[in-house]
Amino acid sequence: MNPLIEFLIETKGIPETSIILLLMLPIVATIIAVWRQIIGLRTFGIYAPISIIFAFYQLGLEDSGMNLVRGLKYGLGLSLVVFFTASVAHEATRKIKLHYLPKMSIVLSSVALGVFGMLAIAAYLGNEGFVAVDTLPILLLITVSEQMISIYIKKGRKAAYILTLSTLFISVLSYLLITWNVIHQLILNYPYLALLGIILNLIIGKWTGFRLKEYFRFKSIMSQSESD
Amino acid sequence: MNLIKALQNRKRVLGINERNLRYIRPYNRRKAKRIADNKLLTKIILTKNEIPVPQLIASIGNYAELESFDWNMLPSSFVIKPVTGLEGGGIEIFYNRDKQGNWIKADRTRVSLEQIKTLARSILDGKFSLHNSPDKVFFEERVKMPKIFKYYAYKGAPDIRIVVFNNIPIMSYVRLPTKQSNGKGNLALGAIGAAIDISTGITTNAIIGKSQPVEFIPGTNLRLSGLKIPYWNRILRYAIEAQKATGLGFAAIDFLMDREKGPMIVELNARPGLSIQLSNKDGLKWRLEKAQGLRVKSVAQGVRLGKDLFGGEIEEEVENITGKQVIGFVEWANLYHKEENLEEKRKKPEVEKVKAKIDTGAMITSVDSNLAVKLGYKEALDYFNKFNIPDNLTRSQAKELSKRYGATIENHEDIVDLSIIHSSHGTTLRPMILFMITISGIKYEVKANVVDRSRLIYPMIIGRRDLSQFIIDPTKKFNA
Repeated sequence: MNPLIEFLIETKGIPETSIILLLMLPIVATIIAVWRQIIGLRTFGIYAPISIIFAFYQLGLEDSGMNLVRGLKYGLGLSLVVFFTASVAHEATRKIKLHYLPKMSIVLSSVALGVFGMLAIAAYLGNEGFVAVDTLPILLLITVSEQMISIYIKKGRKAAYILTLSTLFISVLSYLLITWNVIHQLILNYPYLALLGIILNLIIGKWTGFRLKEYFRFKSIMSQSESD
Repeated sequence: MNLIKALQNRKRVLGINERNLRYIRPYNRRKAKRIADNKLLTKIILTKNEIPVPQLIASIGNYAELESFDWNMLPSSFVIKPVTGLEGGGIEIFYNRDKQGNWIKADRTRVSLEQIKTLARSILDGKFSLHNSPDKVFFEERVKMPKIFKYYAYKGAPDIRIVVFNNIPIMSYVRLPTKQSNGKGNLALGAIGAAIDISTGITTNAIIGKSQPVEFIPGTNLRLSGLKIPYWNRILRYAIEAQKATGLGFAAIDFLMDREKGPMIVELNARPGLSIQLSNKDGLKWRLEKAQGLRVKSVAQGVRLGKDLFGGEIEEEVENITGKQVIGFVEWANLYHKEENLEEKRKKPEVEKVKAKIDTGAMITSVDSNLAVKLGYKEALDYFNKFNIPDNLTRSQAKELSKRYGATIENHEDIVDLSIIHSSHGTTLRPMILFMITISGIKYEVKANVVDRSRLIYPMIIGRRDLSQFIIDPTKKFNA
């Protein structure tokens, strides 16, 4: 382990997970930037996927350490309930045409009640693992549902679902990466790797080449024979 | 896909990353972007520079103004828009007002004042603006679409876009709302994007939806290529003038066409979309590079440069060689049913197929009254007949009657003119109606007089005035 990190964890008592989370953030943010700028797929900004990733991460934490499957299971389950109740609440109130904020308030309330119901069912079924879930990840996911509904309102259902799926996909991918032990050891041994993210972003930030998606989008123009 | 070709052609096409970094950032300063993003500001600045825009009726800046707003001052036909709206969100077009005071949309749905107020409130709340920041509402006149577009645009108006860079028009297309897009001009929703040749103003390739090539208006035999956009030079000029007035270096300028007032700018975009490349089957990148750094001293020079550099020389040449379509002395003509009926049966427009005599001895096209009735003009003809104008007139009588009744008769929405026809049988006064017809695959509008031709062989003759796009081969019959 890097001496500085070792000192902070062993001597000063900063939790290892906090250090991993903070040092992972630049890497996760870079992945999302690549996803948008180089691949060409959109997400709900950069904050939403980071929220989801760390919600998953929090859900996966147990006293004994990180449980990858638990995070994935509860994370996806919660996301499903959150996004589903949000779209149902939106669809149900669409026809009566409400103001934006009261409407969003209804949507978020429904989501909260939905999660509450899920907790109640879990408690009834005696699922202790889920009952003990932290509130922070729940809150993070609910916040993301606002962004989903905002897209839903502006660009329609299809766009909202595609963006949600794209966001969930990149989040799960990044989640798998940051829970990977090899990466943990790497970042604890070489914390300066986090700086690499900044350098990579400087390069991506000046990238003027095509996004991968655009090769498909402009295929018809690119493949036709025509000279200057 | 030929990989090497794709790699070579890649250099012609503009991608989003490059657009943002190399063209929007350096050429569209914040001040200029602010003008483009604010439709009221756009209107003010363009008007100051004498560039036509749809006329502003009123605006509402906040809730207090909304409460005290005098809704009765709105005309029966208007458009409501958010000042900083994105991608057409929050825009509603009202065509008329019913007796209960409801406004009527293109799809005939009725909207009450209360519903309009709710829309206005959600606009003020920022439902349609960037980052949901508070917005303003404005009302402007509804642009009345010219008749030539009627069969091309479904429940909406075609939106003509010119991309300008360095005061040179570099690419253009027209977006046509379709049934699939529900009257919206948004390609992602299924509208059609038809490329326009910069030098001639005539449409060429088209796509429907995001990338699907398309040749005809769906469900019809209306060809998307070959449509000539009226006032083309004026459009190009206004586009450059708008660029000069706002300081946008790289912009997409959107026009609507008004039946009487001609082209008007409805929107400036500081972030031109890239799908125009797909309609044009050509990239923006090489055009931007070619236009870059040229010194454009005047608007006229910018128009000329655009036409010379980016106009389709090849198509022009082909047109010059093959020239006009050759037709015989008798041709099948498809006459389209009056538009109201067409609107409902959009899928397959009602047409009457008749034998038409190509008559270079006549100036004006003539259509049999029974045929006109079949095409939905019964009401117009009944209206005309109410005036009981006799058949056999002298020249001076005809002139006198035309003067006396002309204005009243032309008040009817279908009758555009009266014509005095001298023939061997004497002089008659006949109503003139616009018909959309297709002959030998070419679709256009003719202004024809309507008269009883039931005793004649051909229910329609086409006169010189409506034959300018053809060459007539007198040995031929029925071209297609």
